[in-house]
Amino acid sequence: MSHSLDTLQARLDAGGRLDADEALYLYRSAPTWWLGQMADRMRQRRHPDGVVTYIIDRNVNYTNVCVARCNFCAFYRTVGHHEGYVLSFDEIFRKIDETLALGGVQLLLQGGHNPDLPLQWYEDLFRAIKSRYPSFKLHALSPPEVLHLSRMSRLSVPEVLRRLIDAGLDSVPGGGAEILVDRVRKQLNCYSKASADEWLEVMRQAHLAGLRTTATMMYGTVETDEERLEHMLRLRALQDETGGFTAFITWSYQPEHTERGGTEATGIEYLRTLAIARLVLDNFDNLQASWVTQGGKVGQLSLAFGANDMGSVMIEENVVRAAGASYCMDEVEIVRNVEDAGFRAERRTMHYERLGPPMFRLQEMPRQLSLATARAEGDTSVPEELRQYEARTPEGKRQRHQISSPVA
Amino acid sequence: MTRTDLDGELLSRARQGHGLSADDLHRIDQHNVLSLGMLADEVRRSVRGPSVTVRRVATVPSAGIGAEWARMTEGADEVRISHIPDSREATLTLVTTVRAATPETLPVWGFSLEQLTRASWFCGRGDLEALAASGLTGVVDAAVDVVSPTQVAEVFEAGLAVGLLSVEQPVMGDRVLFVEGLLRFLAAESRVRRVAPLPKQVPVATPTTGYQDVRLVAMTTIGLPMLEHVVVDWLQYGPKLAQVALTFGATYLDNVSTVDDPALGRRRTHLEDVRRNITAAGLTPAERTDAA
Ligand code: SF4
Repeated sequence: MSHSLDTLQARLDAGGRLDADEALYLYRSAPTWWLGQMADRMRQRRHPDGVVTYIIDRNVNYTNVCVARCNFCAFYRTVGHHEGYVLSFDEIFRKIDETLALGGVQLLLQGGHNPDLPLQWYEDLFRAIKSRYPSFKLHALSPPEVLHLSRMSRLSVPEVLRRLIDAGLDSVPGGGAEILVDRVRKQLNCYSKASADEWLEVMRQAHLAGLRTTATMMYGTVETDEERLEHMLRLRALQDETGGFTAFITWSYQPEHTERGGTEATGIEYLRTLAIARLVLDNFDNLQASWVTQGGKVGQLSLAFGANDMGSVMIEENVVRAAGASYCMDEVEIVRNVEDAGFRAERRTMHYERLGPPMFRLQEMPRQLSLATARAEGDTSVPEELRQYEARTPEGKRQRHQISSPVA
Repeated sequence: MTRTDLDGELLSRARQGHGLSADDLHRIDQHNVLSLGMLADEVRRSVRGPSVTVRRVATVPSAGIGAEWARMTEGADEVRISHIPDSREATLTLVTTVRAATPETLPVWGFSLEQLTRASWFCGRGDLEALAASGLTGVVDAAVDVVSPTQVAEVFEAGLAVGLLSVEQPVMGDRVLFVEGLLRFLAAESRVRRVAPLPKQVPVATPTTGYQDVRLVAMTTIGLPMLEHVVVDWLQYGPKLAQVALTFGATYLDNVSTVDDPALGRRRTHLEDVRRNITAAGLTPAERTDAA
């Protein structure tokens, strides 16, 4: 089938929709400038007030112990590995205190599939957080984590979600989507943690339960262009059905220190992918810039290629850093970049409610020139409260036993 | 997405190698970043073509050259001395040693002109001649916001080359003034045909932004069509920004390390990776790296 840029431009300008074939044509063949300008036009149409938002939250990884073993992941440690950790409730409280001091409003809480952390641990953690910090938000547990809890507890996904919501879960991050095509997931060894259908079903159930969620895409491993677009189209279809996604975030695979290895997709590929996402995902309000993987400069340029949101100040980051990227932007830097690009910067919640002007303009704020990590290097402490929870693995049981009977 | 009449007119003037008037430059500086990039891309393609030249550099370690040196220079287009010793004698000895340890086919470049002028021992023409006699091919760069065309001319007169014109501090103000300043510099000293417009020194807490960088590359591309190359430092700016800069008109990737040093993190790069970035930007890697 033959396409023309003019025809597709007219269709998009009239609010029309791209099909898979047209999207593929544009993604592969449209000049980068054309894609950028169309994406910018679509962004402007959805966000005519010239505001670019961001959230002050902290990206906390409560455990790095994981049985999923995705071959693109440099973050996880196997059960019993000496570098495996679980954060204590107190460590998480301290991180929340630090986040609040920076004007933060939520934790983005994700971690490995740790077989020795039962559902009860999550419920207790969420309740403890909510009782100490009632208005603080928990944007927690990506679909594969929810699925992992469902499998471990032998409860249905809706039941797990209900229990987590009762304990304080506010919204679900869109992690673990990678590429929502099973051929790709099998090659990345992430099919068993969640197939494409399972990932989408958890999101469907979360939306039905009244939660809002984000959606993500990690590209640049083994997938084809068609499969990237299939991923977007599956998200678009679910969004048509539920309207539950608040935002889409895409980033390139970070290869360093991973089992899979390889090279990273380039900055131009990122900008083109972001732009085509703005055109395909016509029912998503918000597209975030992934400065944490692309760096501040390409992160800022994302604002010309369809993004309307600078994501999070993060405060802490462990997953991408493990794979070799260590970019940092504090609030001052994010706002400077937003304003330099000609937009007005506003803080927001996960639900994209505007919270007002930059925090550092309202109160004195220390500059942050590097992102914190989950733990100080060499800290191998095991949280005391873990003894209350039954471990499933022999290593976990041994560790619990050691906490219960400390050497005098 | 069509080009404006003004852009078409500017494009045809650029094709003829003419610099633009301050008024024209002010008008194009008002373009949004994508329109500016699109125009710069058209100018670069019609004036300099789609090819991108890569300069592979073996940098002399500050601890001196050792047993690894032969391996480090493999595949290099140039050997580069970036640190400057405290005395004239030590500097001349360093150049002589590097020259002697380096294959004859490889040029030995060293220092920036401002680095030399700031050295307490540096007295001008005589020292430049001594450096040339020690085997130095040329001074790597001369920052137009620090040195004058006369100082650059003195380097040539001493028998050394000057690799490119650079900028030490970020261009915080008027980009048009910057381009006009470059035009004046080139009118006074036209032997350097490459310009690297992105700053060599950037404050850590407030680095230049992506918009600032690519707009400056684009304005340099459009405003100075007579240049041989608009240059970006691969090592300093990293693959992401350097690649995007190519689409805003840059034609030359300088300082691509010959060494796959893990300490360089994401800026360490194999030549094939650099080529992959060039191709993914819709451009063509030059057949050979730049040994000139
Ligand atoms: S990506 Fe997540 S699920 Fe996969 S191995 Fe890493 S921590 Fe585990």
